[in-house]
Amino acid sequence: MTMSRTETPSQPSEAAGMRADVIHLPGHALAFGRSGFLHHQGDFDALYRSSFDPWLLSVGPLLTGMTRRDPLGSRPDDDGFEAALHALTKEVADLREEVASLREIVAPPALSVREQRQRHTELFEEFVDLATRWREEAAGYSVITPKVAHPAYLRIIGMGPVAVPWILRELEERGGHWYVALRSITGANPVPHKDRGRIPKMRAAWLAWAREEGWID
Amino acid sequence: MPCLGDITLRLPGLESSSYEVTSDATDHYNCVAWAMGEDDRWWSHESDEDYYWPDQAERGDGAPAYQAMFRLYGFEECADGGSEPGFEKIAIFAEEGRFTHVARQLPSGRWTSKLGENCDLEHEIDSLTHPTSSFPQYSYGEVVVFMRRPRRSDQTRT
Repeated sequence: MTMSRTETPSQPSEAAGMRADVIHLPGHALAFGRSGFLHHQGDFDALYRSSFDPWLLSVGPLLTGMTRRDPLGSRPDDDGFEAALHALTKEVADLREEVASLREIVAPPALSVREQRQRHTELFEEFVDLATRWREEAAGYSVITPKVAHPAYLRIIGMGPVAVPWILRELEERGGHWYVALRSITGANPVPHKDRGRIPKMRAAWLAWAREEGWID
Repeated sequence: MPCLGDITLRLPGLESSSYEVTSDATDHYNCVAWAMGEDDRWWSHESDEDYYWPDQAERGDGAPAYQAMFRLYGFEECADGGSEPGFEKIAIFAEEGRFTHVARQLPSGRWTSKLGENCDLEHEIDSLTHPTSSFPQYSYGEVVVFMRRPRRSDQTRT
């Protein structure tokens, strides 16, 4: 088998000034454009359609960038080509698994509507239990730190935005020192400095803000 | 008047002394405000964004920081909590050095306390301390310092 590396225009964009490195294999020609995308020529069209995963087109630059090597180009004969193709396919499969696991971390699998409702109900029930426990156990503190460092309070903050309407309802109906939790979750503080510690005014400011921002009706 | 829960469960020392609940439970003010004669503001050294603390007072969770704050309002340390005509006294409580509570002496010599978000009590000074301090009991620790200032002639608040 012979292999030569030439530089030739293979795509309109390359003809317009971007040259491509072309690897000639028997019956196949692969062009790695300067853009990093794989281009196929001649018989490689068939090979691509029969055994190449279209996903390769999208991962080609990524693969090249990550491995800093070209599996196809590193095996300059027929057997090598098949081996390289096999190796490339395996690397793609490995990368897919890695991407899938990362997707699980970044965005867990979507729940069905029923599952979402169930999860929401469970969270709300947990919130009610936690809020009740916190009210009972932290009511005697005059200092704020032990109130907001109470495990139940911290867990509620950890629930994030889903808990905001529940907290606001608690604040409206029963009062309580929910201000640190609300600030922590929403990043807002609608209480004017002069009203610090004036609990009825603080509560009114938060509820007005929450209605304006659409957290509650 | 309603407190949150059974107050003697929270403060077992009340059972063996005389006490009176003098307000409903409310989150509108705390013991520090009550010691300063207020019932419409929550004082706290911690969160400048949420609660009131005098600008000129240092912030700290130790009893000394609270003593320093009370000094700004005319209080000075005194030997004990005995009643002295013409003086208003406060008792600062701490647990492991951290401020937990402050009670104010009434002209009668008894004490008044706002229990966090719970109710106000008229009580004996020793009835808020107890040997154990884990839930369900309130953890006020013990009195670490008494302070006093001249009682104003217009002070009628009980």
